[in-house]
Amino acid sequence: MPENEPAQKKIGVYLCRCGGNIGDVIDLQAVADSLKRENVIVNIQDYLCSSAGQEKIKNDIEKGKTDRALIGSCSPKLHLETFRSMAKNAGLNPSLLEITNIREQASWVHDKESKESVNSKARGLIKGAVARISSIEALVPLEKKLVDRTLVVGGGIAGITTALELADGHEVMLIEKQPYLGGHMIGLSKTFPTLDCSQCILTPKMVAVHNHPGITMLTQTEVADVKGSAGDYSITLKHSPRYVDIKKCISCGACARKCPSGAIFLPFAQAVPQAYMIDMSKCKNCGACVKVCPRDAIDLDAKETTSSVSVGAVAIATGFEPINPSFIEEYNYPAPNLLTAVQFEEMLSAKSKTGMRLQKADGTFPDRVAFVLCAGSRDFTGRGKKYCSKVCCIYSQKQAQLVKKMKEDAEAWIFYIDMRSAGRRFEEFYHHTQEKGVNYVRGKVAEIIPQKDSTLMVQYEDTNLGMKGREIFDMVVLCPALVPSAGTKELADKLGVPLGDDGFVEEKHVKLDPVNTLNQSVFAAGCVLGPKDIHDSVTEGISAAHKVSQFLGKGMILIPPEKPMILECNGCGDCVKACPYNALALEGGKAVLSPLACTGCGVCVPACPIKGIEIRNFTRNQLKTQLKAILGEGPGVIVFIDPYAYAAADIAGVNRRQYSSLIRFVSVPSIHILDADVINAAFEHGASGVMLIEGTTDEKLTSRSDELYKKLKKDTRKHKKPLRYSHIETAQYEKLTDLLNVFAAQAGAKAEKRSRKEQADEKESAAE
Amino acid sequence: MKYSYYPGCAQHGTAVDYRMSVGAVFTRLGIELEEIKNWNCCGVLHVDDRTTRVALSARTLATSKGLDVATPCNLCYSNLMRARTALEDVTLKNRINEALKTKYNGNTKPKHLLEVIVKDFGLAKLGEQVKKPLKIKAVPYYGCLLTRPGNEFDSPENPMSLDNLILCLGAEPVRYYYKTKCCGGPILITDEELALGLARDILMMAKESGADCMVVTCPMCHLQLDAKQKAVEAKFNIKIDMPIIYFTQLIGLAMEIPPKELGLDKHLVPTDKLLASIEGGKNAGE
Repeated sequence: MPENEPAQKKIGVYLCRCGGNIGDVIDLQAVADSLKRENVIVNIQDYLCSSAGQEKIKNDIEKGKTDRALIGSCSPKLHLETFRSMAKNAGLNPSLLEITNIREQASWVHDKESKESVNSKARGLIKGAVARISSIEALVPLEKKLVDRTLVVGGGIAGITTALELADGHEVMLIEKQPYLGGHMIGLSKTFPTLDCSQCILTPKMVAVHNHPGITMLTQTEVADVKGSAGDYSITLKHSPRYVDIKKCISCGACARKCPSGAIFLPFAQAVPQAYMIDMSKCKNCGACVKVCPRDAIDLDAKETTSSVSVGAVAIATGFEPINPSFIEEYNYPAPNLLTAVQFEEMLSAKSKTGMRLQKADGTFPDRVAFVLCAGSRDFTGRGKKYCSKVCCIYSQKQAQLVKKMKEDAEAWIFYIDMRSAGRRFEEFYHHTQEKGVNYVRGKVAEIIPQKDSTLMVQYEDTNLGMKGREIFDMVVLCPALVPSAGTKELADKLGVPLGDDGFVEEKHVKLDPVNTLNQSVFAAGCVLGPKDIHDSVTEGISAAHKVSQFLGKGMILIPPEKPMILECNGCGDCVKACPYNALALEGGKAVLSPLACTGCGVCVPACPIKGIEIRNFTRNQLKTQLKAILGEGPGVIVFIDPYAYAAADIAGVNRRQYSSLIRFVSVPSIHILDADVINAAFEHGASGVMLIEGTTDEKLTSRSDELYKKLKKDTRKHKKPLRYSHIETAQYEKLTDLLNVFAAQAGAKAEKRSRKEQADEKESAAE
Repeated sequence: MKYSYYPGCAQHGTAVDYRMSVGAVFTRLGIELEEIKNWNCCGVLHVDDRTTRVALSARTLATSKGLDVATPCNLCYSNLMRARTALEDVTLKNRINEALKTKYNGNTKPKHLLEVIVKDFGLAKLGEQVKKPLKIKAVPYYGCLLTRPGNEFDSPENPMSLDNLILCLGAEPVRYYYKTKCCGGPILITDEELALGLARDILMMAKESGADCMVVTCPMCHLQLDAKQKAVEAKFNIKIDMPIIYFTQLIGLAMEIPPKELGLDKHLVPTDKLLASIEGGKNAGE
């Protein structure tokens, strides 16, 4: 037992001012003074993460002044790895270094509170952490062998790049939902700012994917199910039928010539894989194609199939789709000659159905074309998307240039809010477009009204001229907000990857870890991380490949060692039944753990009727010791929070979302490790309320949360203090802070009522 | 179903035909409209002072005996809705209540008659009352105030309740992009040229759609589009000849209520051709 270890621990507490980010709000010297009786050494630095700051800690460790280090600084999600690798180099077991977050979860979120209340919170958190670090044991992470195969999901330019960059050293499987590779890029005409042909630069890459011996390419394929854990996934793939065998088809076209209904076709001339396919909604099942095919490649009875693949890493490159602008009612989309920019591009691309001619519904060339920017973007009314879709300013100018190039006296108008041309060669491109005689109107379009003759009337305000106007156009192109492609959420949930509130995949760190996700074996590239152009998608594809390669190159994955330990067992088997991941089994009448299958969720802890199971470094006693110390510095609301919800609290901090300084987060690997013992201890030590906040999307856990909550509520009822459970995904940081405020107010009001009652009771008894 | 009824000035003046059709239809549908005793003008066009205007509406809402207040007029409706929002300000409410005999308590809700029919009564139930499906093409024209400021009843940009009502009566609502454009009525006196220009755009768009009539929900729109149609024709030297029908008249026709009882003989743009094509049951396109 860790509690029985010799008491002579030399704890070093290192507090970071973070410039003024922490030091201006929290009186760190007072925090240090409050630790005088704790028998610890305390050191305060301007920037602990700097080499000077790290050197100080390293010195203390090397000289034997410190054998356990507690750091009070920014979120552990940012620098825990930095400090732990320093500790390792200095000869300290990294698990004996911990971080208490006093920036994102304290100094940044309590601007409106009194200094003293923030200081008492900081003192409580640090004292709690000191109590905790003196009680934990040194653990060594477990190692698991990695499967050296990567699944790249999405065959657009980001996925293609990731696959090609990886495939020389690692086995890659690339899957694509569509019947061909190329994603949105194959549907583009010319690419900005160079105006080179999209298809000409992409086709060689698609062919390279097809021919690479290290890449298995599967089209019409999606992820159906994910089993296993980081580094060792078993993924079930779903293949929808093409009815034509890709390997046999030689694209001779005999089938298409015989088909009476035009149901069998080559998607487009340069399509990879180069094979015909059947649109079953058109097929009359006459069998003419089957008879005429010289290679016997057609099977009209093909069905959806599934297969399974085991992979060590996954790269998500599922890209974007344009939002359907019909929700902007005043634009009256769809209507004849009212297109989205994606439709405009496709008309002039390899996928063109008009022979790459720009034409109106009646087949003639449009003499007046309007481009309407921000259709559904930069909208804070709650109707559209808040963010800028980034690429529209430049591509709409490219499209305007194409109109002018095809017909010099044609008119092209661009309606914009702000013309954003940041980036290398983009301002020059903007200038060049102006020189071409494109008409720019600064102002949001108010209304688009289809006319009887299939022209469109655009009503707008020109904010430069300070007047309203209306113009008739032959064609209007809406530049729609770009949103994550359909199914992004489902895929992310299966892989345990959180999304931001905009629906795009959340990066591990927004600036410093842009292609890692919060799941160490899942990476992302391209527009699934937010709207961006080809250049940036390719950059991210290369980055993701590098990160995957680095990850797989280690051959091993380190697994957090905070697993259950079975201290006492009567062989009842309750924990075996409770474990959602089949990680426990009875052997010789005793429960035995398979650590690699275990995710450390802790469901087994409260399940054991004799309290014989504890999670290493999150034992009941360790948690109670920490709670006692936290609450010793004044009352507060204890919030047990899992790593996913913890990330939401960090985002709230980065966005400076204010909430009550009564909130004291206690980080736990999962809320399911908690039982009434711990919650009761929190109440006994003076917590005015307790919250359990869970952010995981793992249904195996969330499906049990309600039951857990009800049981805890029942077993802690005697304290008559509020207990609440809430599910907050990483993206829902606004909901989180609202909730924290409401709960803190409730708990505070209840506590006040109680103390008034107690005072009255005391008076009464004194009077007696 | 019972409502307090706030007819507004037009029902007792220029919109007699509207009043007749409301009476004929609502009685037959069994929806009781109890006219508020001694009601006052809503003040929308005549009162500049905001407090006074809100107070006028507060009085109307306060004297409704706890029933929802139904009104046939878009201007009254919009004004009552705005007053209701303004009265959420407790200081203003208290100030106005000082002057009111019956105090405003915020419990009554204004409803346009279209909302009463489409939402409260329900189109499914109305469909059962249709004896003669109308087989005509009609323009659903909501006017600018029925759905503005935005409310729960319908979308401010592309409302559909009148479209659905027209469909329910067996007629075809045409796709019409000027559903919620201003008819120009309220500015007719101050800027006649602009007002007639707005009416022209609305009427010409209706004519181009090939509709047999326009359906309106507001006496002011009706006045502008029906009574002033001749003036629009003269000013711009065009021929329009578009009958303007209240939605209650349209319901009445589908329920086979005699046109005279619905006031259809009181229009300035003749409705004979429209009535004939309904009578004949033939499609206008034929």
